[in-house]
Amino acid sequence: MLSTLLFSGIAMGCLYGLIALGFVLIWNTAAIVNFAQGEFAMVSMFFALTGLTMMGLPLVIALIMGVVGAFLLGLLMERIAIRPILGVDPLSVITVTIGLQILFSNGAKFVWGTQPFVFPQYFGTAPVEFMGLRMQAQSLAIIVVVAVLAIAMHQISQKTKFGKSLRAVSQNRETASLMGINVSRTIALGIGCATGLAGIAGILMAPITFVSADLGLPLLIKSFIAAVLGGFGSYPGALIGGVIIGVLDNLIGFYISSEYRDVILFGLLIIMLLVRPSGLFPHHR
Amino acid sequence: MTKGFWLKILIVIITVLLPLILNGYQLQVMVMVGIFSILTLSLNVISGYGGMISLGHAGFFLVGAYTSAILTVDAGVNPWLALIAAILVTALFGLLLSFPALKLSGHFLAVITIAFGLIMQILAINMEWLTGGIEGVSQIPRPSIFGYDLKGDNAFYYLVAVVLIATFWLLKQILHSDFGRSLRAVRDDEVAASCMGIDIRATKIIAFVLSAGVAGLAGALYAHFVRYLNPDSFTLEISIRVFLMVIIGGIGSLGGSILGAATVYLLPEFLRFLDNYYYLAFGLAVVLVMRFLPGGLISLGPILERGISRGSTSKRRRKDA
Repeated sequence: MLSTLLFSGIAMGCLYGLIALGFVLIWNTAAIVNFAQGEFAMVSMFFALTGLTMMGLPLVIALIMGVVGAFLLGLLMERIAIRPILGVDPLSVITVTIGLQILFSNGAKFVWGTQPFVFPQYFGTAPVEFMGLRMQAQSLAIIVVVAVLAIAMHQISQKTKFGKSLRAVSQNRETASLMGINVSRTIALGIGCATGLAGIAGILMAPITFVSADLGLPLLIKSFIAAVLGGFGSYPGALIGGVIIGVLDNLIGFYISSEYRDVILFGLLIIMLLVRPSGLFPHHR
Repeated sequence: MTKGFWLKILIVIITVLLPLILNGYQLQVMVMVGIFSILTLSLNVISGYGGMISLGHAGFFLVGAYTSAILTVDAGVNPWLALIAAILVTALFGLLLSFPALKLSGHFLAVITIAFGLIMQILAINMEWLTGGIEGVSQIPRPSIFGYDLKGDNAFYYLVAVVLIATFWLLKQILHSDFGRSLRAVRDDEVAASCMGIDIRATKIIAFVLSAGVAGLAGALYAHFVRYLNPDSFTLEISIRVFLMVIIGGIGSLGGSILGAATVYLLPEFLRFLDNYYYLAFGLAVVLVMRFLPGGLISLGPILERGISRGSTSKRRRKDA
């Protein structure tokens, strides 16, 4: 039981972490707190579901459609709503992203309705044995995919021109533009990547949750907490913060109290932040 | 007589006469606008003047509402005493939450306040012996004044209007006193403020206690107005909406808070004809206002004034020519 709980907690936590990673990416490159971040996971589930059930596409194509949809929607959001307000009062920018959050979740309600949908399983529900531990196949898949993504992203950020531009822009926008980096394009692509990551998280969690238009905000809160726990700015911190949240969520819910789960979780968060006010992995800009 | 004076007289006359032209439902909506204006004013104290983001104000609202409701329904306390108790209890919660606020800022504080709001809501759901759980508290009495029962919505409307004006005036006095200036100094630059001899700790603590107390007042009024409470009325969405009210009205402006509360509360009512689209339109409206008026609706005032004066000067110029 413990190992199943632990692994499903880690898996869910990886997804929170993945969304948080995008959240932090947007914060680092554009200095924007994106309250609509969770919505992209939700939107990608619906895109994939639409491709699968309405258009009858093969599963893989539908899933790719979900992620690409989230990526493109992120680019669109950046172009229409974010680029014009870059650099104004940060509270106004937060308000715009809150407005976008309301817009996306209600837009999804309008397009796909308020009823939750069930997404088909990718692997079936029988638990698998892995290194002597029992876990859900989906959990294993999530952990593997997120681990591969994390390594790939690290490589991209260290080795490619795009990754270097991203890091330069997050360090200092003006200097970056003096070095010949196209800052606004880098920010746009960074935001697209971040929403694409949320999209990947969305299609990974689709089989283990109900697909509904209300998913975005709870996902945002969990990943916001994950990002803060990880020091708000650190990428490994965001992932680790997510895993901590996911595991604690499961363990407290099962062993202590499912009613008071969130109270205990948030209480622990408050205590932890009182002890370490800048998170587990303080990030200095 | 200054222009501001006539504006005040006009606002008072409109406030007094409004119930005459509104139907029962519209009057209830206006009472809610008044209550949310008080709540928005309270958030503006810490967010607008203190620069500390709180996304948990529904938590304070909840504490105030439940304190007053439980005291009057379960303990039979006079509603006025319960209202004062609600303010004090909520202020105490503000004091508790001010300690993390001393150590944390920015996103870290925002997350703490989100956590606070959610904890309060979950406690209200699960502490059934006290709060009645998801069933909530019902049959909350309306207060009476000099033996006159404020049962009618009309009477309650005037009560809320008086409390709102009193709160507005009181906060204005407080925020234009030494304390208010200290608070703004702390917001703008903590180091410089402490060099000027401002006690940062005390300033932040007082701001939180003040803000929470006023939010508790709004909560108590809400409890006695709707007369039935359940935890669904105090969600994170409410906290976010109050935050939107502060920003859309104009951050750091008390008048803006009332404007923001009225706009954000009334807009969905006006958009109701859009049926399923109306929240969609609401989200769009929020984005558009911030896109074109980053200073909030209150910044529209000076812009209009400039427009009018420019219009009149150009007219004069034409006459000269």
